[in-house]
Amino acid sequence: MPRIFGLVVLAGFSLAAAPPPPPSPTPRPQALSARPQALSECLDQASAALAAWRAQGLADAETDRRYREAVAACASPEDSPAQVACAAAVNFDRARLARQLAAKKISPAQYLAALRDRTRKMERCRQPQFAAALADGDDDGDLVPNASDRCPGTPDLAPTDDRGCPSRAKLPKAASAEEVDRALKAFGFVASPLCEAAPVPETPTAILLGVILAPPPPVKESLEVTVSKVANQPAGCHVVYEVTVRGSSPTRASLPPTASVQFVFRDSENIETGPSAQTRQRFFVQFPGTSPLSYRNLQWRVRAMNGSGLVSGWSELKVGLAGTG
Amino acid sequence: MPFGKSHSMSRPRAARRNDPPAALRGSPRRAPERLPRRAIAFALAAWLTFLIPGPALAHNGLVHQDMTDVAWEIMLAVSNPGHPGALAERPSNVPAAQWNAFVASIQAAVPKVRALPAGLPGPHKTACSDDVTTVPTQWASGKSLGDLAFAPGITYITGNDCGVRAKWAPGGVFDGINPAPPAGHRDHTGIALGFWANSIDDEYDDTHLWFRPTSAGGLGAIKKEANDLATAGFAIAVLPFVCLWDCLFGSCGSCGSDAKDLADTANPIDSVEGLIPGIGDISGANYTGVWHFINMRPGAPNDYDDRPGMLYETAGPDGSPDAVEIALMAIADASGWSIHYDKSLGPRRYTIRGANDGHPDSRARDTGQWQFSTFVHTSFEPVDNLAFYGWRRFREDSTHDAHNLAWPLHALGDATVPMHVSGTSGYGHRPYEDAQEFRWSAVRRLEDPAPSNAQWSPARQILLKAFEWRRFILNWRSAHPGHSRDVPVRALVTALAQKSFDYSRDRQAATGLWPYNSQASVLYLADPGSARNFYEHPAAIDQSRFLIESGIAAELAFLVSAAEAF
Repeated sequence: MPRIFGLVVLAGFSLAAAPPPPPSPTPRPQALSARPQALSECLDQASAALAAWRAQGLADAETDRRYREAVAACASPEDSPAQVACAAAVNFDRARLARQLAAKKISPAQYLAALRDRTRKMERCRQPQFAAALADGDDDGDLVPNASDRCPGTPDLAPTDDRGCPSRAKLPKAASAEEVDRALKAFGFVASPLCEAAPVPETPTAILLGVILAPPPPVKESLEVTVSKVANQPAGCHVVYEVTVRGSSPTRASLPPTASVQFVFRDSENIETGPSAQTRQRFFVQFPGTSPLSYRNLQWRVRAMNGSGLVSGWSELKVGLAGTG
Repeated sequence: MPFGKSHSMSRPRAARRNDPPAALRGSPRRAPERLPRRAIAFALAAWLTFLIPGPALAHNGLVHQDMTDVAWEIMLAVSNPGHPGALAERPSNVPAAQWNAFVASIQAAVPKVRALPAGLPGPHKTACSDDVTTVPTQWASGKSLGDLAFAPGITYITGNDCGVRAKWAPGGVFDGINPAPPAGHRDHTGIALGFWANSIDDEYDDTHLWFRPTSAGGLGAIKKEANDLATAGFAIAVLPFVCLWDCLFGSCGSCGSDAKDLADTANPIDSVEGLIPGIGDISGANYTGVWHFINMRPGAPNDYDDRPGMLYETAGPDGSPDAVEIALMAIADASGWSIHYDKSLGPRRYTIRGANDGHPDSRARDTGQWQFSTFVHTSFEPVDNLAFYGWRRFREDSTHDAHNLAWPLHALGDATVPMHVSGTSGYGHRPYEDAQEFRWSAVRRLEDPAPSNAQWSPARQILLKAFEWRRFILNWRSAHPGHSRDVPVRALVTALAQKSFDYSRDRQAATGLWPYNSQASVLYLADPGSARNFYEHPAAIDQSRFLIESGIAAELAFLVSAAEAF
């Protein structure tokens, strides 16, 4: 039984979406979170602010910190900037701990202990005084304010007591590293270590979106997608290509006026094997639902993401559809 | 450039790439089916496919449905002069007045429950999937429970055919109590109530999730800050997370590879930018269950309610999440998967205040407390609150639509599952529930050599237990003046959960492996059949029967008492 790869998600979108708001030169988190602003709008503003900070040439660490706090402010509009910053720091630590666990730098028991430490500190972030004190300084990043930290220089991500000293509590009971690793691997939670030093993928080019007209059942109408191959990644660093297709001007009144479909392909799904495989990636997908031919106007574009999560920009929009059947 | 929201193409199905089209066959090109299976694992494809899982994935829906029906069939039997006298015979240790009142309350409840509006919509289609049965378009809508001519299946609303269990029969001895024509007019009240009981797993809007960035979209800075942490792969690693979730709550065997028909289940993602952390709206059958737990472990943190619901950090019978839950936490934290407060109904529905039922109010939480952390660090409201939500609706709805009984009935069903009452989606949760469903006829003793005799015995046991639950309710009413017709659903669910937890803990101490098996959920990911073996053997079925019977008994007492509320 052949395996089935890839997917399609039909999702609404508008390629003619409104442009992002003009970036503010120095947006502050609280400025991004005013209610009753929708979460998505707030996040859009955070993204715009991120672009502005980058354009200003801010250091990566500072850019990242500001962005985290801007997003946290979106998630918690009722809280003060200090509380938001505190919560953002906790979440960042949790994300890093997850990476350390997956990288087997810490054991599951150490992971649980550190998580519980951060959760306890997240609760302290709710206290305005604590959050304000933390905002005044936490040089060792243990989420205990400098002013009350009896043990400055705590090792990175180590659990501490409320005085900032390394916790002496016994590690909690936890599954073994082997079991956790088995669970992660069972879900394909695999890293792409060869992507570690990879740059942001270059933006692929949308080359051809072809339709393979429906042969007799049970084979259905299919699509073939050809894009340029991302070439600036190290060997073995996996790349996925996200393709979105938007249809408008339906051929039947019963169809929505616009519709979109998204495909995501892993590079290993490429079916191009000739000499052009050096420069092109070609993917096949059996079209699942309403035929793309149900829409007179089609536009599509592609972007790439590598195994480190670095994402390229979107390609230029490509118009039209080529029949290949 | 952000995408706005528009419409999806109609009724999408999952993309199928297994069979290359004729144009590609026989070509020297690398055919898709030759691609390594492993590729699926971290294909974005798999991720997105399972963002939109369907209700058909509910893995113990029939158990929920049939538990309620068995409770009803016993009520019918007690009201039917054709039942064996031993079924409703007064136990020697129960005063006659109490027992007779109990039997009378059952007999009084039957016609009242039958008269409740069934609350069912019309069928999607009149043709059934068996290609034989057709149903009239008006068979369900506007009907009372007692007037239903068919048994709705668990996908009656969410499926894409007539949605009825055309050949349904109550099973075993109940076939004689509730006979089909021409011997009688088969009553579908219980199976319809059971349909509703299961339907809570389809309350998709209870839970919406989004990706909250933990860094600047993974774009550079985090690599510099944490470049010693082997960070590679995490943005993509979020993707199989849905497979993980699917294996816990959905249909693991098909994760990443199934040509599953999503036509009727698609819940289109609002934005195709959902690939990028920070964006996306994710909901579906796999995510409703986070509200379906109540952790009875002594010492479980209860910051928001008298008993906590699901909190992954402290999951499990001893407060130690198992391997799959640790993996889940890591992936959720890496990706920032969080509750979307504005879109999720759960926080509003199940944060209970002003119930006046003897349980303390839930502690209110603001937006940030729901959204600040990833969902694995979010303490969800317990399933007894879910029960109360429906009960309050039932009480306050002047029509007393049967639909609203769904929440308490579902909660009672979940409160019989050892993993639900110890707040874990690991420790064999999924294989345990699979086994219950796969071996349901054995649980019900329908496979016994002498089914009639064998089934009257558990029916009797259930009735005796129902008497105790009924007494529990009456005692509560006595202690709460002004509530003489009310049902303490939160107390009932909590008490049942406590009984289930205590029993499970005792059996665990005796067996070491049942019901909590820290290996079973991990094993299930690779070999579901072997994992189910822990729970499918006769001894395991015998042990779980106690829990099931307690739950059916509680549902029976609940239905009898609910009938006094209107």
